[in-house]
This record gives sequence, structure tokens and C-alpha cells, in this order.
Amino acid sequence: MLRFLFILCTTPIFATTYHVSNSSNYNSIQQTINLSKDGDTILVEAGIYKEKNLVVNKEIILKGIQHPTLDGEGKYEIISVRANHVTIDGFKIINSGIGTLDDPAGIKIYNNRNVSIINNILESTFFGIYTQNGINCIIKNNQLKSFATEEQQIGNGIHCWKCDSMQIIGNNIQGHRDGIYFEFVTNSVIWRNISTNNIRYGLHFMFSNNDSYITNVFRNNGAGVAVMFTHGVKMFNNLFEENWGDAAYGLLLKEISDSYLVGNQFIRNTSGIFMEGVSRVQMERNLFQNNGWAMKIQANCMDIAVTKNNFLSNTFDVGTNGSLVLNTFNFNYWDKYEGYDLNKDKLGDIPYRPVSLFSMILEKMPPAMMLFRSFMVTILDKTEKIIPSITPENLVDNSPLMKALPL
Amino acid sequence: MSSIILLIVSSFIFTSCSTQPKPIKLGISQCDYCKMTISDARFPAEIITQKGKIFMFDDIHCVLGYVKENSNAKNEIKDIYLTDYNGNHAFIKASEAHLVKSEELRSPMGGNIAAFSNVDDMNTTMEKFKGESINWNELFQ
Repeated sequence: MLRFLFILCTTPIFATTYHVSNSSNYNSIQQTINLSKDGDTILVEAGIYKEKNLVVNKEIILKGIQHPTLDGEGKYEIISVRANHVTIDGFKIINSGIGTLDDPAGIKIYNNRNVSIINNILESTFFGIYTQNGINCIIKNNQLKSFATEEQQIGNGIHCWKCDSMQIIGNNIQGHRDGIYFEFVTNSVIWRNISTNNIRYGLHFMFSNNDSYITNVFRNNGAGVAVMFTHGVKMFNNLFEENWGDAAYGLLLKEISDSYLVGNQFIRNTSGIFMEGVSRVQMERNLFQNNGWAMKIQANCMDIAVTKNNFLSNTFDVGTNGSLVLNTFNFNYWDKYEGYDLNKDKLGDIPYRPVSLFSMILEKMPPAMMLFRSFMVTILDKTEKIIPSITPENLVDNSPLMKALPL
Repeated sequence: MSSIILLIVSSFIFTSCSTQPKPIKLGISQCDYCKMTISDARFPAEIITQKGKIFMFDDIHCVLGYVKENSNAKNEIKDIYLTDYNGNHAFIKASEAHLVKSEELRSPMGGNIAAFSNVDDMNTTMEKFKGESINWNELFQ
């Protein structure tokens, strides 16, 4: 027992703290790492360090004081983490190598668990923070900025591949291919990140089950956000804004099932949400404002419940490509609703049909957009509202709200 | 005046459907199967139909998925083009391409198949990625 206590008390005492700075004896981070043991701390003073590829292969804390710069000189992967329980905190990491075969990154985590990447600034990196086969890693409060153009190859900001229990929190990502990319990542959370001006997607999910993304901002990305081939996704309180273009969607959902979409805002997108092959999804308390289409639901979707959402100032509320409707709309507020409420139960007495005739025509023939807001189109739309023939009969909100919800 | 007529006439003649693959604009063109924006120059493919309509894909996985889901698509196909994994990523006919399948290729949709116009390129890549050589006709069946 005494011996056990002795071990318990003494272990931390042996941990050493090293100071690395350009002017002292310890002026190479790599050499200091090689000297260190598991549990040690290495503090790096401000300055510029050109260490080529820095390999962290011990369980250590690597902490920068006033953001020392690690320069990859456009040739190297800057930090390679090859141990568990590593913390990398407070560095400025610039100019990683560029390559299509080995995907160089600012920081890459190779098959490790419990790694923390905190408070770093990454600039002009090919991939930003890349994790493969990581478990229980934290990527928090990092600033990533790259300068991608459409023609050139570029990697993703925060890229996770085959990971589990990841926490991506409070990062700011700009100018990458996809801001945050998840492929085969499970049980993870993406919280309070801001992903803007990336050339493809702000967030890109594929084959990543049971993840949540909460209170993130996705603005002005090439094609919005894509969540594909996944089940059990929780999407709460995110903002999808300013995603314009023929192939751009605020949120693209493809082959998604058993998921929740609650409290999100879709503002000024060509299409707020585009859904294809989606089933068993609850959509509640979302706001759709100033979109071209608030929502496009392809006919191969089923069991989507659209309840208590606000639809304000959208050119078209709902678009679809077929007459089969297996989804339900209830208790939504539609600003285009022209019905009345005689029994004062705050619900409209006549149903609302969110799909207009003209949006059905546009689905088949996009150039017909030229005729939008013409006299004939308005008459056709009105006639269709009274005697539905082309629009799907079952796509209807039987209890539309008279007043917008306070969202 | 005659030049205007020529312009009008020629515009009718030359808008006939193309049978050549159309260059893919990275970051702009959209995959006709998975709806993703195509951004990786190494893996795209195109289907050209008998009528000259062109469908673009970001991965061979999407070509196969598209053909599988659209049962009459297969009969209407004139040509399928893949892109060369190496060099300037030129289009090559699928039937003439040398294909390698390897998990380590990490293509956009997990098809993980790369196409090559010549056998030497294929062999060097196959050594690097520990892949296996596959045959287009077997894949497409």
C-alpha cells in the first residue's frame, strides 16, 4: 500500500518541462521531443521554426507561447502526431506541402487516441487538421485559412477519416475544399464552428452515423452543406446562409434516415434544403427565409415530418419532381397562405398547398423561369390552387398556422 | 446581312448534340448521381448517350450506381469515358482503360478505382497502392 502511494505521489515529479527558443541551447523542437519522455511538457517561445516534418512520437504536451510559427516551406507535412495523449496548443502553422498522393496536412493524427489540437492558427495548408483512425480526439478553437481557387487541388480544413468519438468545437475554417469533412466517423460532435467561403462544402458528411452538429454557421460556401449516406444525424440550431448557384444547396440531404433537423435557419440560398432518398426524418422549428426554394423534396423520400416551421419570403416554398407524396406537413406557417380562420383556433380553415404549378413546370423545364411572375403564370397558379391537377394532391398542410412561430 | 444569316444558320447546324466528352469544370460541375460538386480531377467519368446527352460523375462508383438505378440507361449509352489518373487527366474510353482498385486511392465516393491510359502507369501505381488490376467489362456487368 505504501509502495503504491509512493508511486502515485512521485510519478508527476519526474515529468520535465523543456523550453525551446531560438536563442537557447534547446533550439530545435524535434531534438527536444527526441530527448523527452512520456508525460513531459515542451514550451516553445515565439519565433520562426523551420523543422521540416515534426514528428511527435511521445505522449507529451507541446505548447506554444505567443504563437511561435512552424513553417513547412511549401514542402513538408508540418506536424505528424504518432502517439496517444498528445496535446498541441498555441502554434501558428503555415505553408504545408502540396500533394495529391500522400495528402500532406498542417497537423495529421495517425491512428491515435486522446489527442488534443487546441488554439492553433493554420494558414496556407493543403489539408488543415487531418485525422485518420483517431479515437476520442479534441479539435478545438483553431483558426484555419487557406486560399483555394476552383481550378487547383486543395484539401479539406478539418478532415476526419474512420474516426470515433471526435469533438470538433469552436473552429473557424475558410478557403479549403470542404470546411469540415467526415467520412466513416461515428458518435462525434461538431459544435460552434464557423465554416465560410470554402470552394465546395462548408460541412461534408459521408457514411458517418450517429453524429451531431449543433450551432454551427455555414456561410457562402461553393455548394453549401452535404450530408449523405448516413443515419442517425442530429442537426440542431445551425445557420445555413448565402449559398447560391445551380448546384448549391443550403443543405443537401441524400440517402439519410432516422435523423432530426431542429431549430436551424436557412436564409438566402438557391435551395434551402434538397432531399433525395431521405426517410424517417423529423423537421421541426426551422426557419426558411428568402430562399429561391425553401425545400426540394424528390419523390423518393418518405416519412419526413415537416412540423412547426416558418416559411417566409421564399420564391417557392416546396418543389418536387413527382406526384407520389409519402411525407407529412403540419402546423407550419406559410407567408403565402391566403386562407382564413373563422373558428379562431389559430389554424387556417382551408388547407395550404405549398407546391405551385409553376414550380412543377420549372422542375421539368428550368428555362421556363423566364415567364415567372407573368400574367399567365399567375392565372395558372391560381387555377391550380382551386382545382389541383398537376401538383401532387397529397402534398398539403391541412393545419397551417395563421401566425408565424416565434423562432 | 449575309453574315447574319450565316451566323443564324450555322448556329442551328453547330448546336447539334456532341459526341465528344465535355471538359469537367472542377468546383462547378455536379455529379449526376450523388449530386456532389466534382472537385477531384483524378476520378471523374462521363456517360454519353445515343442522343448525345452527357452525364457527369465524380467517381466510377456513381457511374455504376446511375446505370443500376436507371434500368433503360444501359441501352442508351453510346460511350463511357473515364479520366486518366496520371498526367493531365485526359478522357479515355472505359473499354480501353486499364483499371486499378485499391482502398488507399480514397476516391470521392469510395469507388476507389483509378483508370490509366497505359499499362506502365498502372503497374507503378499498383505497386504504390497495393491494388489489384480489374477489368471494365466485369465491373460493368
